Amino acid sequence: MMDDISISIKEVVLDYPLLKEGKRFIKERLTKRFKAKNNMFRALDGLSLDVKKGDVVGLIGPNGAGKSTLLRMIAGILPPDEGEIKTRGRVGLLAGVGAGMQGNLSGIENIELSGSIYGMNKQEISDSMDQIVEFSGVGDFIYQPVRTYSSGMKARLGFSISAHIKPDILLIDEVFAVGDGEFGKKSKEKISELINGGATVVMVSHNMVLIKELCNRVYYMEQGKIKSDSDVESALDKYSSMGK
Amino acid sequence: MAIRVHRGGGKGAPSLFSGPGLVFRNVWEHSTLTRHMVKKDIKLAYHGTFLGYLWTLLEPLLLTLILYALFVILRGTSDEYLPLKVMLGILFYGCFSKTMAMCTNALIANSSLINQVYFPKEIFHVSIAGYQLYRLVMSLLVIIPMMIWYQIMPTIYLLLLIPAILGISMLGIGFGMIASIVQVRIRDVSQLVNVLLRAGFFISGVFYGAEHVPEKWLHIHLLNPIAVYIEVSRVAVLGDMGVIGFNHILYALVISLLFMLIGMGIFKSFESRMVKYL
Repeated sequence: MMDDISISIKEVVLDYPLLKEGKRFIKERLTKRFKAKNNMFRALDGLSLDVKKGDVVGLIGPNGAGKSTLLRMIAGILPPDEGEIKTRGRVGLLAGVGAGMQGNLSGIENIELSGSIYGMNKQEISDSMDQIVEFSGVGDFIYQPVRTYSSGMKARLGFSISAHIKPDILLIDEVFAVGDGEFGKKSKEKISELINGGATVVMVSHNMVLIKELCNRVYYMEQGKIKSDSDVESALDKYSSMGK
Repeated sequence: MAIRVHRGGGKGAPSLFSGPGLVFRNVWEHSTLTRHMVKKDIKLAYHGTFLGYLWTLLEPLLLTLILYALFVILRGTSDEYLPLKVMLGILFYGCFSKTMAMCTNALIANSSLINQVYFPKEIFHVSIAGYQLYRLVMSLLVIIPMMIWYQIMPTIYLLLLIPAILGISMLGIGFGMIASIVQVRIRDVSQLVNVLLRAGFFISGVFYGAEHVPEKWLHIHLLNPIAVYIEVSRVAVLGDMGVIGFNHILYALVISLLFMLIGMGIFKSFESRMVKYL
């Protein structure tokens, strides 16, 4: 792996099983056992991609193109069925923020828990505690159980935690819709700050204005493949002609 | 900077033999996470109840009362230590069955988390076992007033509680890891585990001592490591080896260690392939 490459993806294939509820029962299982191979959905189809250190890559394309799946594979959550993925450094995924939050624990306790889930050690958590609390803007509610939070507050706290894990590779899956207008702006600034800090970024978004503003390379994905060159214009062209 | 590689198919998965080593290393490297998970379980266990921690003691005490009454009504007994023995049986079996049952559902119950953050999934199992271990130790404190009541002097045998406690956790975590992997594909497993745990309750000598087991069945009874651990806990408190020998203890520990290592091996080589089924 070359030194300036942050993420190297080689010919990656991923099949998702299609679970039809009926098949879960024993009769169908026994009779249709051997046809099981057909019940796969190919989410990624021999995709290759190299991302240089410090690049900000945008992934665009229709729903179900495999963008989020690709992010989760880079994050190491899903192993590929074929091919190989290499990453250099700590990987952080911002997606569906608020995963693993416990309603009955206070905000502080949730920061400790989620922070450690994201791989921060005790020192890192206590160092960034104040920043996380302040950035989330939930104020004195931080001592209250998270179940008493409004959904916006919960999302803000979640985003705030994951934005402070200081990853080398930051993967972003549509999290800009977080919180009210004010917080939306703040979170965008935070992302820019992480980008400027030298993090390699891969982001999935349907917000073309944002993609144009932040990314230096953009890929258009469809049916588990990359269907465009790496330059921003050609990918956006593809996107705008989508479905025509 | 650390390079992480994920390869396709089974090629990337660790072998059965490297599994245990990986588990120990991951738990060590993620010790903060493990601690926080255990702490979370402790905090949430009796959240919102009036009696809180007291339930850790109250639950086994009430169960002991019921089972003791039942035993006396059905069999009649001259064994004055029976309540103490039943109590120990309930505490140890409870530790095993709760570890096992919670581990079986560990992956399913945390699927949304697993799908959003990458971290070693054995942390779930280890922290469950850690929490149940904590509960067992805390509830064993109830033994102290009981020993005073019976005027039992503590002996060196009391140290036998340590292998018994560790052994029963190893067994629970080993079985639990295997069950949790299979559970992802075949959701019937947790139902089966429930039935087996219920059956185990009756055959593991929870509410009767090994001396109540007919002679010809005794050696079969003591093939069950859980039964051995329960019996060992009674030996430890009463200071009398009874029908148990050190060979039984050694046997149970070896079996438990073996199952734990096998469980870890199986778990590590299948865990990441299971994610897309969650």
